[in-house]
Amino acid sequence: MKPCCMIDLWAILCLVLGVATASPVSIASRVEDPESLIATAQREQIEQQLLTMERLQHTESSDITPLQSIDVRLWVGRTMDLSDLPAAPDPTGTWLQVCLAWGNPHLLELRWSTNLRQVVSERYRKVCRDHAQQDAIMAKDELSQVLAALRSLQPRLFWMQTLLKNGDIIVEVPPEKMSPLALMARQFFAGTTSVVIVHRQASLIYVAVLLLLCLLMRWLILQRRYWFSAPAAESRLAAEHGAALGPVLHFGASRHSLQRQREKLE
Amino acid sequence: MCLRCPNCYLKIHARAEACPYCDFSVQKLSQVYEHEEVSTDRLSDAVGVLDHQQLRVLTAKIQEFDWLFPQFFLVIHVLDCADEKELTRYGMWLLNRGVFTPNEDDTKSRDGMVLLLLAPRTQLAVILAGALVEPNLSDRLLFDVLCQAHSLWQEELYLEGLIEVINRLSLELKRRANLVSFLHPLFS
Repeated sequence: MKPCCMIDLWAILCLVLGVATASPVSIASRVEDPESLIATAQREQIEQQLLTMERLQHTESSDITPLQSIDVRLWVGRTMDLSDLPAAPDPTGTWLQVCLAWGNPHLLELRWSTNLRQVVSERYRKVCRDHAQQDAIMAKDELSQVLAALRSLQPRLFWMQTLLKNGDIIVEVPPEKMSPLALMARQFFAGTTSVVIVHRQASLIYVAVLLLLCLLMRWLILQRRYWFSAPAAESRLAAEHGAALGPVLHFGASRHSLQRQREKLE
Repeated sequence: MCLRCPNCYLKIHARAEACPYCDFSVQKLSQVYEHEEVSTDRLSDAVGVLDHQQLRVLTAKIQEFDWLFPQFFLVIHVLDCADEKELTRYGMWLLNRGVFTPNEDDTKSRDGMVLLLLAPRTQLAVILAGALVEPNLSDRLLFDVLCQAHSLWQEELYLEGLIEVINRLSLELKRRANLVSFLHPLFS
């Protein structure tokens, strides 16, 4: 079977089981500022920047669907300790949270959703953080630091989207966005194995099943025997079993060309 | 419907008991070869162009053919003959009077025989089909099957040529069986 057919089949299976190869529809970008450190005017600028980043995700590559967009969030606090941060509300989504201590850009941290972690390597995550941190440190005031950190991440989002688009990640669709059929499939498989629904190992299972089916088909074809229903030819020249002259091939003498021999049969 | 007499090559009526020109019939052949019946192997090499290992390979191919086509069986004889006429006459006699061993499956009628004769010295080969095989394979098609081995036999690669012939013959029979099984529901 051609690989493209297997990919198509995989896509159909994904649809049936209610899993998608990317995150669900993006949630609007938002700014978390529990200590009200950001002024209204500043907030508008930051949200404008986040909006631009989201818009660019769709314009830079026309084949990026909303399913593959990355939701960029911002958390700002006076001091920053990752352990104190509230838990992410949507662990299954595809988001990236920039956590920044107001006025202390060297404390900048990035929080990645589980799905993004699967496609973005640890080394690259560190590179993203370091670059955002350095850009923020270079900026002169708090607002510029936030904007610089966000701008530094902007070009990297496209690369992450490409990874998501290539289907290197299998993300579970939230139950509220699943079709009833997908929900049934999810409940059915959840009792047996979680691997089937969520993890990329599921693809291996399907590939193995397809391979087994192909082998079975091949075996069945090889086992086939051929029967003929035509009645036997009539007896000729008093022969009981056959009296056709039969074609004779001369394979040595050059005077007997194949074409001439073939014509002789007519 | 006409056929050519194996003795004089003139066209005669298909239902003729004997050739009206030369009086040829299978009974006459029995007088020529002085046997009413001959017992022989399914695969024989009277000339000695095939070694033991090659005979084993051919035996396996024959068994494979027999398994694929339960109504037919393949007989291969490598022999020496003077000319084309002798080869075809001997072939027809063997087709009608031969008793072949090993014949593991007694349910197979001799009408389903496909006889392949190869004469390396005179550089001739012929395929004769039994009455059950004949409606499925025309002379033209059988000639094309033999042509598969033309260049190989010219280079004295007899085993390779025989295998090519068996493979092509199997392929043509499979095609025919597939076509019949496809068309049968349309016309029944």
